[in-house]
Amino acid sequence: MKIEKIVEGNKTEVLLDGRLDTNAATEFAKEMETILTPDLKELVIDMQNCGYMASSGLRIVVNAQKTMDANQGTLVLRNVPGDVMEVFDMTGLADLLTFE
Amino acid sequence: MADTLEKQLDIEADLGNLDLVLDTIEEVLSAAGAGMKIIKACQLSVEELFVNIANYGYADAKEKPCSINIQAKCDDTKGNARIELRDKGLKFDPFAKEDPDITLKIKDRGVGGMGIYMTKNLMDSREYKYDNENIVILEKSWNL
Repeated sequence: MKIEKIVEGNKTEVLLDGRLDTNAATEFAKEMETILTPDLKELVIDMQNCGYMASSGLRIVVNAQKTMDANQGTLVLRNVPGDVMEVFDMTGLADLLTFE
Repeated sequence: MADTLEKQLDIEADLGNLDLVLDTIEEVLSAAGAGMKIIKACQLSVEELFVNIANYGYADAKEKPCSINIQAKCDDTKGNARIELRDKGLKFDPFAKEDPDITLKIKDRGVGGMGIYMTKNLMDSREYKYDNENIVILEKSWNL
């Protein structure tokens, strides 16, 4: 999986490209550790090119939302493909996260 | 026309083999006419089980044998996939655990439990049995 990061002040956009399986999630989690700083206010995760997400990826999104809540910031999941949306739906997260 | 496709992987339950597992599922199922939605459902289900075996099934054992048999049948109108996973690790029924509470708020969510719940939801049927090894059988069908 390719992970691209665009940082602008206290806003960060992450673009995921490829299969977010358990191995990719390990890599993504490491990347997120550096992204989720206490002064981050806006986080966007763009999933346009990520049509597959295992539970390990789901866990990272939940953790990111927890951090952004603690930061009193926002997390937006952008361009989420149908198959991935189904995973958010099935696990009860679709109503708890912000999609656009 | 009816057709049966089958592939057997005899591998180590190691995350280094995850790509091989996922790619093989796609190869067999797409040859049987399954669409990406069905293929991804099967990949996700097998990934969650395989990762559990790799991470917890064998504790510190040096060898972690795991076999995955992927079978897909199709005729002119429908197809069916049957995937069987076998491992000789600790006796463990992945489906015995209670389902996670999916109504919990973000702040109350723990780290685990969702993977197997996803497998349960994504498959038409899943079965566990123990016969000197853990055996899990998943099935999913589709219309062509």
